[in-house]
Amino acid sequence: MGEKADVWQGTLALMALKTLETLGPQHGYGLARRIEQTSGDLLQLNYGTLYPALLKLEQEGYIRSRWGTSENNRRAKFYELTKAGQRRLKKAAAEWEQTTEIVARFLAPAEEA
Amino acid sequence: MKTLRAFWIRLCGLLGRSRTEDDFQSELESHIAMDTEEGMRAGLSREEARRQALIRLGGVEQARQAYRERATLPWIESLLRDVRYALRQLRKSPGFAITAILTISLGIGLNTAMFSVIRAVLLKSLDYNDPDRLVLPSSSITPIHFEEMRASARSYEGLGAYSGKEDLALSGDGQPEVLKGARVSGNFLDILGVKPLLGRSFLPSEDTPGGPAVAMISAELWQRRFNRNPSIIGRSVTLAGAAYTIIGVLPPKFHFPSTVMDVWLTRPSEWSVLNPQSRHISPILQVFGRLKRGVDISQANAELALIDRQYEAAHPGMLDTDKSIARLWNRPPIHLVFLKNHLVSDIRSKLWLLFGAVGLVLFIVCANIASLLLARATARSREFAVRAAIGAGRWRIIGQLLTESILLSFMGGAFGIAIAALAVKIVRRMTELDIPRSGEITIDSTVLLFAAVLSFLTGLLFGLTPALSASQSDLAGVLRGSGEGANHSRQKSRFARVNLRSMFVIGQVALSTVLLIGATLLIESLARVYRVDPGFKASNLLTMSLTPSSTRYGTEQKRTAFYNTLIEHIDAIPGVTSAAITTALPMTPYPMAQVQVASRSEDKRPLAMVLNITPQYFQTMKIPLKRGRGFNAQDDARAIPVAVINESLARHFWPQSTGGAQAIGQHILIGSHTTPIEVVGIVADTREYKLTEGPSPGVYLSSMQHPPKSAMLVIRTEGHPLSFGNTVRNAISGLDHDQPIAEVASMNTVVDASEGQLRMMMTLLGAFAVAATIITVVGLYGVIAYSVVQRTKEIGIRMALGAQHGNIRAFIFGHGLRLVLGGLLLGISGALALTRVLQGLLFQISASDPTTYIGIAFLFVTVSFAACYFPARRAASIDPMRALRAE
Repeated sequence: MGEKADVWQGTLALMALKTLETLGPQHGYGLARRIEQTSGDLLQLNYGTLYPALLKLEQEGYIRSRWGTSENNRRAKFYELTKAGQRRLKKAAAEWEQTTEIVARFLAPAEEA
Repeated sequence: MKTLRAFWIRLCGLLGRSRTEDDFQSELESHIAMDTEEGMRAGLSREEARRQALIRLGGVEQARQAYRERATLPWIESLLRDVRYALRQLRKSPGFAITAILTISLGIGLNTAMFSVIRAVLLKSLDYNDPDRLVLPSSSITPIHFEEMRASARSYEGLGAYSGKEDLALSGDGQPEVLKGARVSGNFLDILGVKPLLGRSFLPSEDTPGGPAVAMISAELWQRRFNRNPSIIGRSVTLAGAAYTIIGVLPPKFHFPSTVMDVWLTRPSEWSVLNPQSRHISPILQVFGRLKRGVDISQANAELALIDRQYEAAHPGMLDTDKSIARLWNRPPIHLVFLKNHLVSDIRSKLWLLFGAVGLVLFIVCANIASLLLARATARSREFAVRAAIGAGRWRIIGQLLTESILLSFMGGAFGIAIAALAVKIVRRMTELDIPRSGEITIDSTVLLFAAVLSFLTGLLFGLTPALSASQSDLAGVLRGSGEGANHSRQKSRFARVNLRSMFVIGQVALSTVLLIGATLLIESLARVYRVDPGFKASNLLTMSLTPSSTRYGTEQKRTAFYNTLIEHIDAIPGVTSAAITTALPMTPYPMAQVQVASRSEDKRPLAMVLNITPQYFQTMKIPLKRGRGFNAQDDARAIPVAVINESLARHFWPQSTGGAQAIGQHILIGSHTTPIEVVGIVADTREYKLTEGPSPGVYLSSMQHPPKSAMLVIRTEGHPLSFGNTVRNAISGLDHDQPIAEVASMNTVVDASEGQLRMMMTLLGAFAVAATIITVVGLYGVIAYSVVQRTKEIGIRMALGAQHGNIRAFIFGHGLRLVLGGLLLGISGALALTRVLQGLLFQISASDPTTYIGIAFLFVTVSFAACYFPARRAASIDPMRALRAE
């Protein structure tokens, strides 16, 4: 499929958490770029939707934010994972793996047939 | 948990909205700047780089909107908008708003007040430790029975007893004062699980006969009399002329065994009101106990019945085991009840009944407001149509209207809480009603929560039908405004609403009828109660209690001398016609004893009231002497013992002779005394227990032969009795400075108090019924007046076709009458079914008394004619030409 996939509900939060774990503290723009890159540019990420998702994670206590300075000496808001966020990420990743595995099992015979 | 945390942050976000938005604005700017720089590094022009950055972002405004929706709670914002809109709408029609709010506040206020009473009196558990294990037998028992029970019962952690109240004169420093005393078992605080506020509780040695004289006092007395002085513990005070050491102070609001107690003494079987000889055989002890953990009340009941049977077998012929007497007492088999239920046994059903009545009032209020809202919905149909036309969904409009009605209901509820607070204050002050635990009635957080939930539900209840009806209005028809088709559909929805309103009126009439009939039945009962001739003249009688100190007036001679001097002094007061002493006033508890004719040996000895009186008693009370003579100054301790009996007793013993004439000169025996007493006179019967209960047999003894230890003073006055209170008080204190008097009241008050609960029920139900009827009649007026406006054109046509003014008036009255008759029909059937719950309160009237029902129906029809009068006059004055030209 040549078309880029849209980000579907719920996975954006998981991607953001995982990316923050890998990169450490990061600002919104960097996070958006990194998610696109990691997906091998297969994802069509609407940058604007990232911010409400980050806000939700922050309200739930999985990440925290503070203003800082970017590598280009620009003022930017940096997000970082909290302890609760690390736990959440571990749990969500496990759940996600399980889900994909189950879905894969359903799809596998259909494709063979 | 996480969701709750997020919800809270978003709720707070509503407040600091502008700061959050500024913050996000900066974040967005920095994002766009970074993205633009990246693009420029890749070789794009600044403009192109920025354009692509914005595209990737998906639009600044959209991003901001999405962010805002997450930062705050959009539904709350929309709710707030609805509330602001609703407030504007209400401000626009203040007349409607004020009427509605006041009506609702009445409904919610009454219900909240009733709920706070029921919660405190019936629902809240007692302030004792683990109160659900506290039980007591349904009737009191003799001290012998109690000792046997205490020795053999295994179901209880602790078992104790208390005896009746007694008045104790506190003398010494300061004004003498009559205190309410209770005699309780030494372990009473252990059973209840209460710790003294100060000092200690009773010791077992203090609860045995001959133990030291010690007392505990209430926190209220400690405050009032002893200034909260902690050195009160160990101090000696004089109670009823004897010295007692105060060992402890009870916590505030400690109401055991009954509401207002000042002093607690031990040894309940030494109740001073009874003679020492008769105490052990009289059922004077009310036992109470704490069930052992894991012991079920039915197990304890089985054990209680067993002990009861053993006692009956071991002690035949006692007052409480003799079957013939037990039947006279009408004593049901003994069983255990929970302490909590025991306290409220006679008021529980009444309170639930009143709660039901205020519930009906609230329904009437709801129907009334719903009817008002329907009328408004018609007037506002254009507004709804416009809103629908610019895209508001049906549910959005329903939501808006419900917001309005719930807001209205909450405003009414706020006023309602004020009404409830006032009502609670009044109820707490009505101490003569003797509502147990009335001190605990408060408007607390639970009651406020109740009021809030009730307001919400009320708003929903009265708002739902009008909202659904309004949202159905035909958009195109209303907007087109005129033309035949538009008019037709508009008329259709209007008529649907008129029908709904008619139904609401019928419902209101039905519910009001039920309340009115219930209240009228009670009013008629009370009127009949007061028509009962009590056998004495209650007006112009001053009464008070006095207990001569037992040290100063320890012997019978001293008491007789004291009473004689006292009566002389009071008789000398100008304006006093006569004065007398008696053991007990009518309508208050009185002493009883078994009486028999000395010459007969009968098994059945009836229990009779025994009153010790001074010679002027019959004259003072205006109790007519029927035969023989009353007492005179010669009937003293040296003369032969004499008695005056009432007609009931004379008829009982000498049924053959007319009016028991044979009784004169015969001798009777009273209680366990062996001295025969000669009957010298017969007086008319009096109602001694309650006005509603027939007279019972009674014996009067000369107080000079048997001077009572505590007495009631009755004084017949010229003019208002209470205005003599101070003069009499001064006369008594001139005689003995340490002699306290108490319970100063007119005899009328004493009689009224005996019917206090019936009067309370009548007053409250009557008030509810009147309020309900007023609301209903105003509602009826509203519907009829509105229908006249609606039908102006129709009336105009009728008149143009030749209808006379009289026809038009009849047409309007007919409309009103149809509604009222429909409601009456429903209401009367409802009343026939519901007033049966009043049965226990009614006196000499049936719950389905036809006169009452017809009277109320007639009253309602009359009042509704008044309500229809102005609309009918208005309809008759319609000018047909103008009516037809309009619209």
